[in-house]
Amino acid sequence: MSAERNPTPLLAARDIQKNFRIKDDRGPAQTLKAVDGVSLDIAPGEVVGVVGESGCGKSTLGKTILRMYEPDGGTLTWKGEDMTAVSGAELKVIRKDIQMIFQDPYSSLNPRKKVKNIISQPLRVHAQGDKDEITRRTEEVMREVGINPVYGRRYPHQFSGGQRQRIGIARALALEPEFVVCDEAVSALDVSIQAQILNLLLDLKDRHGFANLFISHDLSVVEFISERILVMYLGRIVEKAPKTELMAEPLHPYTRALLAAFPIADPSVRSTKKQIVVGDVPSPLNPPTGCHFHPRCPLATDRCREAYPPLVEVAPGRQAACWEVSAG
Amino acid sequence: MTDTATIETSATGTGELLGIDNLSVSFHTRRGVVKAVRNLNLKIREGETLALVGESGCGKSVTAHAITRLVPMPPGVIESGIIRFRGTNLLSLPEKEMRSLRGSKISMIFQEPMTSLNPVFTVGTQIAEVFVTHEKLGRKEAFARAVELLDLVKIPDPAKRAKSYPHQLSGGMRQRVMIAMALASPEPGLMIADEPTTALDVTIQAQILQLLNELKKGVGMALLLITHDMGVVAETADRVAVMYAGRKVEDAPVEELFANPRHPYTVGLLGCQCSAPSNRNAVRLTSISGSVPDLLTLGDGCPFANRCGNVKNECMESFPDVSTAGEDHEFRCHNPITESGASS
Repeated sequence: MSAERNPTPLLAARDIQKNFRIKDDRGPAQTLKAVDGVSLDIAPGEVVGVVGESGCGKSTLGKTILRMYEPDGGTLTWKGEDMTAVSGAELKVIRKDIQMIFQDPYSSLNPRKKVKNIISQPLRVHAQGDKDEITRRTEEVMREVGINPVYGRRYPHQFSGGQRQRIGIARALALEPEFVVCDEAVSALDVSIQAQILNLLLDLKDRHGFANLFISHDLSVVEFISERILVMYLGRIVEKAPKTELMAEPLHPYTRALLAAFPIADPSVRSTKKQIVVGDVPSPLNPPTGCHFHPRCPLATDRCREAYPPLVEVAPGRQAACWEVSAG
Repeated sequence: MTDTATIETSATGTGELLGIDNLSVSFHTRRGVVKAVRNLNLKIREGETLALVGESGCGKSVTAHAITRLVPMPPGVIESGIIRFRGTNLLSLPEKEMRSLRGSKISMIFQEPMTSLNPVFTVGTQIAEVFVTHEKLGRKEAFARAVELLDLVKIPDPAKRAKSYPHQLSGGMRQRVMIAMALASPEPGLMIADEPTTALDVTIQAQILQLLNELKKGVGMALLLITHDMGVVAETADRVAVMYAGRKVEDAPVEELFANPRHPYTVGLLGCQCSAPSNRNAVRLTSISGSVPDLLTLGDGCPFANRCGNVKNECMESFPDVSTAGEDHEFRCHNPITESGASS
């Protein structure tokens, strides 16, 4: 819980920047600041949720802290050692402990490979034992995620969406990583299958104790699985808090808007006069000046239009980037 | 199918707008016959929002396509059934009359508005088209009406936006345009919304749902809302029909369904939603084991039997008849969940 105070977090990111150059047919190239100065710490075994709407940079953040994208600024520390500058063999050693589970179980599995080869590939890449040892481990991890090893000779298209996601999880867990990033890992699944996969992830986490960065647009999923939640809007973290506090009393106006907009599966609490935020999410190519949320914010003042508020501690363990909230 | 277009029913007296009796739709594919919808009975009253809920492949979208007669035939075949709209059987209506009904009295909006809008015409022109076709208005007058509708669906600066092409608008704006088009009729009776907010961000989803609710009250139309999201159902529906693998398994007013679900699938569906109140502070979600059966190989038994915790021998053999639980609450189960929540 108190990861921010933990002396050596598993992974620490400081002021991470990731820009993309966008060039269309006309006009000069523009810079899209997908992740703009994000810092976060992840303690061993902790589940941190990242929630935000499309274009907020949550997926880019996940890929950048794994160095699937090279960061354009900031530093990444893995177990106290700088992993921003390492490359080649050194990076491969770190990557063994860091794995990713993707959203789309259709495009993230090679359709031309047998499932057992998909799952054993990380073991072969990182040379984890001889052939028998790799087969044994592959079958073990398949059983763990609920896929019968006799199906190892099948191809991905012979499995349903939920089973494919189990295969993706088996691949990620084959190396017994210490840190797993789940990028919208259950978003493409039907709700009954979504529940199975979330329960599976929690079971596996309890058994193996890996830390998890769980990225999703779905606040209810993030709330269910996470211990701490980061809320992102247009490339920046606007609020960071333990789950219970965040859900009970959201501080940033955007977090409040997100909570209010989220439909609750209980008709008896149906609110007719709910506060719904107006307008669209602006283009991340050309975000509003000052606080990016000010055009949609009910509390916005002149100051919000001029300067971006820093992410500051507003209560013990809680941070928000809002001039109005930090003013009290 | 019946031969007569008009059916004598007593249903008109109860405020029925749309009634579906014993509808079965199949798709004849190379691999065999897929029974997408089986013996479906459904009723939508005037001005009501009925949510049709279920997971992929349950037949909810096929039902919507059958109502609008947009099931591709072949491979689709409507095996049996009647779809009454204000007393007229849509399934025996000549195509020409059906076409004049579509887009005027029955309109439809889809999940991805970009694929339902024509990219080479401005949105104003596309909405105006409805007035030109159904009301024989002149182009200029029709365009002016289109601008009024864009204002009604709360698009800022409607006169300017009417001259935009679909790609110039955001996803939420495009969905508003689709809604405006669906409203472009002198007497909209039924709007079918097939996953209208699934592709949208949650703050935009809330805006669109609020808009649909307001418009429904203002215009007095009924809404058939097709969704997989129980949160959306809880916030918008008056009544809910739950489908599973082509069958309707339960049908009840929204508060009754959430408070007192009788079919094990409904209970499972409610329990596995992260946003369900029962999952607050839960360590694990209630999940339904297994996965949806292959529609090609479904027998006569209950399609949920292989995943059901309440399964009995007869579940494998026959699909149960309708049972009722109080007013307006129907379900089809051999071994339902009792009112206290325990199995009988």
